[in-house]
Amino acid sequence: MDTVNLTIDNKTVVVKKGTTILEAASGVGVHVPTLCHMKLDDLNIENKPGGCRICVVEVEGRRNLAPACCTDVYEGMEVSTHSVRAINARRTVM
Amino acid sequence: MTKIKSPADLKRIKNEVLLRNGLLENSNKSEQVIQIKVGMATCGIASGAKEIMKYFIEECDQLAVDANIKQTGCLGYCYAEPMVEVTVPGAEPKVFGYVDNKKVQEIIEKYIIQGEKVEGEIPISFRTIND
Amino acid sequence: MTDTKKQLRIALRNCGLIDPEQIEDYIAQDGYFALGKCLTELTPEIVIEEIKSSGLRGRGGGGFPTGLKWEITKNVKNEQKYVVCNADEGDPGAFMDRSILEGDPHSVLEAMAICGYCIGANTGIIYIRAEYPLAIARLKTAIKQAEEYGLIGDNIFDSGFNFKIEMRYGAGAFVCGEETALIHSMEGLRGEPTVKPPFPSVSGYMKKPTNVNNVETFASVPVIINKGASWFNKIGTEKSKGTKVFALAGKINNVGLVEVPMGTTLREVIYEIGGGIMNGKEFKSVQTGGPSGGCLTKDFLDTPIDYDNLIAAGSMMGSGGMIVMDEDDCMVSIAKFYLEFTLEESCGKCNPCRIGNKRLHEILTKITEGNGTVDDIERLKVLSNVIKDTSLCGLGQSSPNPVLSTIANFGDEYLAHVKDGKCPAGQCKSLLRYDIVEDLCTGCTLCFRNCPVGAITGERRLPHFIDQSLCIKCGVCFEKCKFDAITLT
Ligand SMILES: Cc1cc2nc3c(=O)[nH]c(=O)nc-3n(C[C@H](O)[C@H](O)[C@H](O)COP(=O)(O)O)c2cc1C
Ligand code: SF4
Ligand code: SF4
Ligand code: FES
Repeated sequence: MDTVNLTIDNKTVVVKKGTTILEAASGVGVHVPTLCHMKLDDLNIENKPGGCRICVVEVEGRRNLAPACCTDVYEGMEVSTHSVRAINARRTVM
Repeated sequence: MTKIKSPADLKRIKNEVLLRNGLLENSNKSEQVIQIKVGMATCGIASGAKEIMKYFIEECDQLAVDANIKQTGCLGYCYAEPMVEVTVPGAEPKVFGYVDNKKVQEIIEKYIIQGEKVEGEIPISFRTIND
Repeated sequence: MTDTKKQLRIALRNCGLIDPEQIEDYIAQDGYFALGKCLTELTPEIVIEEIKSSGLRGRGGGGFPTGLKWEITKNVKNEQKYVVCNADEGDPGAFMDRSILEGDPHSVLEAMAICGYCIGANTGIIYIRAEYPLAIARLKTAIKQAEEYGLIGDNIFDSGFNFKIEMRYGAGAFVCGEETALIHSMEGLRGEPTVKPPFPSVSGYMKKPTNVNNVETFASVPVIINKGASWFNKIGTEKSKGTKVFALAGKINNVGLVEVPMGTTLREVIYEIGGGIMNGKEFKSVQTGGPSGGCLTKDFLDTPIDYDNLIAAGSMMGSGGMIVMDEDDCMVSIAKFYLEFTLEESCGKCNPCRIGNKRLHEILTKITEGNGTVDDIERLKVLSNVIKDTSLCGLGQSSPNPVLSTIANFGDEYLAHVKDGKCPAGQCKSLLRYDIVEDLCTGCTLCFRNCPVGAITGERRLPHFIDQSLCIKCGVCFEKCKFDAITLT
């Protein structure tokens, strides 16, 4: 199985290819707030319209902020979930 | 209609059209006809190009001017619609703007028949890909 | 008007030259020669290489290299692929795509077939707004004629390549010009964008690889094949090759479509081709890029126009709308106007764009009504940046640009509104004040009789007086007074 190495808040993470930032973050105990993202594991339903933008995080090298719930990770990605830019944005979005 | 099956077929059609319009390099100059093109995109039609074209056809008929009157697209001079381009054999194409029925008569009687200058000419300010 | 031949018509080469309803006319201008050459002499790889080295970039707004997009789509393995032509043209004031489709529809059909050959697609779809009936009619005629000649259909030029072209009609929503929204609209779903990736090149129409290009982009392709990439890439600037069509509008003498080589300066376009500002007024600003672009000052007049320079200047190329403003235009109101458009057209899917732009609009309204504060300007900036940062699609990501660029370039005008309660251009009605100068007033009662709301009082032959709380700033008294006794501040 293909794996991807990335860092989230300076923690190194290795996850399966196709994982979202949100899933990768929860794997290392980093909490990213969500609103419109809905995942019911028992029913195997996942809905991620990517509409509320509460979950935005800063990704190194990307022009805008990325919605964690529906952005797939890639090799070498550097994510900061709680940078000032991301937090301010989230607060304003709220 | 016969299908086009090769670039040679395309060239044949191209030459037929050019010949018909007397535009081929070696075609006999005296066979060339006057070309009148009326700008008929949305902008032209909105400002009355359809009527102008009809009027051109009628007038040319009446005055026995043998001209090839066609519709064409937008030249980009939207501020001066309706516009027509007149090419008299042997002369550079001339573009006239703000054309109305009076202007049509003027263009036909003065410019086309007598070769006089007519007001309202718009200088063509672009190069084409062939320049 | 100076005839300097600053224009060079590539995408518009046949517009105004040929009869768009006669395929033979197009063929006489070397039409379908490029397709013939590709199918009989060149491999898809060579054609893509040619487009790549021509430096052609998407004319729909993004400026993505066209050859590269084709290559990416080609390299995705799938039995079924699509070529889509984006003729949604939602930018207010832009109509170059319409002109091309009305004046030279075959050039787009030819290029779509070339693209199909390159990427391995057998179907092309033109997504066009239903508000363009003439363009639709001419396209239909063109498709029919091309089919009759076998230039579209099965086994084109005996090469075994099949290509058919269909049309889809949009309802004229701006957001449907965004490629993912466009594809959803074609599928019959709601015209809302979705998160990219996946890009349409990988998963587009019906989840198949789809190459989306703009009308003008396509119209440039046959010329590149016929004249060669090296001819094309000599035109323009280092990173932006070829020409761009602009729709000149606003306070300019020669309103219309112009096509200039990349690298032409704004001054050349506005003064030499556009014939300068109407009524000899002072140039104030030029807005490029439509609702996603920005307003540039006269300091930028000598900037050569290309994708990167415009972005560096805080605006963008967009689809090529160019609106010229003079001294009478209020920049705060302009920003507000564009936001009104964005608000109308936002699909409402994501929060920042739906609510954030509404808030921006509220603050701008507050300022134009004379109730703004200095803090409001700061708030506009912060909110704008968040909207840019967090919106899902390009519409939201660029919607605050008119606000940010007007604050950056015309900050003092914002300050005049909030600090002095004045609108320098005299556009914001709430900030105007009509007064009667006692010494000049003869008491003729003309204004009194004409004021629609009865805000003017006074006795015959005595100075009159305007009750500011009743005045609706209609300006009638100002126009009527024969003695210049009414002032406007
Ligand atoms: C809000 C929005 C509106 C757009 N409107 C149009 C449009 O009207 N016409 C167009 O060709 N591209 C439009 N685009 C750009 C398309 O998404 C896409 O980039 C383009 O069609 C790609 O073609 P190109 O590479 O030839 O430019 C729009 C993009 C956004 C974000
Ligand atoms: S940015 Fe605006 S238009 Fe784009 S998805 Fe979000 S709400 Fe819709
Ligand atoms: S119209 Fe002028 S002069 Fe006459 S009453 Fe009004 S302000 Fe005075
Ligand atoms: S949780 Fe709503 S966009 Fe990610």
